[in-house]
Amino acid sequence: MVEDTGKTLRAGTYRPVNTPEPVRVEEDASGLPAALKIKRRQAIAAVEDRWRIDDEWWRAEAVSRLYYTVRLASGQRLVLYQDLSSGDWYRQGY
Amino acid sequence: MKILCVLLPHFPWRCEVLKDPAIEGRPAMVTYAAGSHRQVLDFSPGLDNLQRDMPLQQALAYHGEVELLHADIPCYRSVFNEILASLEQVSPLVEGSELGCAYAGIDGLQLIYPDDDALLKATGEAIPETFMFQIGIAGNKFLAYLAARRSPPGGHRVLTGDVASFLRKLPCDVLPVSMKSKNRLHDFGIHTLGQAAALPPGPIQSQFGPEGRRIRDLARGYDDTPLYPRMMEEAIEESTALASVTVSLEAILVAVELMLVRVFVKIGHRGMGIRSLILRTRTWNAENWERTVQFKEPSLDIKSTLSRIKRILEDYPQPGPVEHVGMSITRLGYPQGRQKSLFSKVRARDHLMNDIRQLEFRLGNPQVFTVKEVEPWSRIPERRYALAPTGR
Repeated sequence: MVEDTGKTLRAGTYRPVNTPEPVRVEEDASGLPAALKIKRRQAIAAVEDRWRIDDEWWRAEAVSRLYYTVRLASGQRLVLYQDLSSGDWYRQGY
Repeated sequence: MKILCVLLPHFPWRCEVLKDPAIEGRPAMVTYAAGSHRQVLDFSPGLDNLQRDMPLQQALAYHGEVELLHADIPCYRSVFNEILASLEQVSPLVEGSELGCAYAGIDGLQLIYPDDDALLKATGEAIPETFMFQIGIAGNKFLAYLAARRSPPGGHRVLTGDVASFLRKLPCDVLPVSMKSKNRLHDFGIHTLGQAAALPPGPIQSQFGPEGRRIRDLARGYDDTPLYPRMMEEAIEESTALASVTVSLEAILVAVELMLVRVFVKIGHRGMGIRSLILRTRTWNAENWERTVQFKEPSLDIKSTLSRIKRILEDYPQPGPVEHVGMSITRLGYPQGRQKSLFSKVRARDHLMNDIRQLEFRLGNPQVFTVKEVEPWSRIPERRYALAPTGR
């Protein structure tokens, strides 16, 4: 196994894209997202879709996410997910 | 080919005398800055133990009471160019090798100058009286140079016939090769050109590499270095004295802008732009600053020229408060449209890559990225793509 050299990424190496962005989400009684705060509080009008991803279960920190496609009151569509191991919410392009 | 060599001994010092004739009778040294050190560029005739490029401290140990002058290289170059222009009235093929040393091709001038005396007289008349000169004529540049070095001040020497006997006793130090090779020759006990010429070609090449062959050829009087006549170019010179001594970049830029206005008036409506220019400043304590500014594309307007010059002035600070700004336009050119290609997409990418490289060169670090597929099959969205520096 290749050891971690401890070196920081240098210019010229790849950069991640579409990384999840933490977001504050208010949940309703059933645990579904009810509102979120991106600059200002915005109510979620509807949850249009929901799916779960479980991956890399062989690692110490397995990936376990519950994704939602939500429609805001303004009509904008967003993809959110809740990290099931930590309970934190994130926004991500999918 | 017959070559005429004109040497102007103590050229920088003579230029200083030209500026201030009162220096003539006083012992003086012309110095220049080499990094944080000062070195001797030239000195008044008669000062012993001094040589060019010697550290100033060492020179002052020999002559502590001399007057020190800051080298004004732009001025020396300007004077030298005038002399070269005068020599071009004698022969159309004139090469300015270094300050104070010029070569001229003199083949086919018999119809104008029936003999060497007439040619030498015309050459002497082309040189201002302030400058002492030595002239040599020979079959190649090296021999012409040696002939000039061995000629009396104000006189000449024509080298014909038995060149070997002339060269035999000359020291190896006259060879135009690296100092390292000269020192090695002395280490081997080879002190004269006669000894160097007698060496067999194999051993000398094995010891000195390609320079060994050149040493042997020169020592035998062979020199195939061609004459590089200077190009006839339109010279546009502008200079201005600032209203007051300043360290302000803005004030210097105003002066530069005024000069550019005059330059573009001179260029006129010929559709040409500036390809290269030399910017010079002189500080209040006679320090000189000089930078060559190159333009990737001919600059057709004041604004773009000024922005390039501004960057140079920001990157290379002035040695002190500036009192004089000068500019020489060394190359003009017509704007060239980018070459169209049948394969326009290919060339478009080349141009794009070129522009990206320029951007990175200026700003450092990768500036433009391409989205690359990394694990497109991954169920985790951020694992599917990554940004890679474009063009790598």
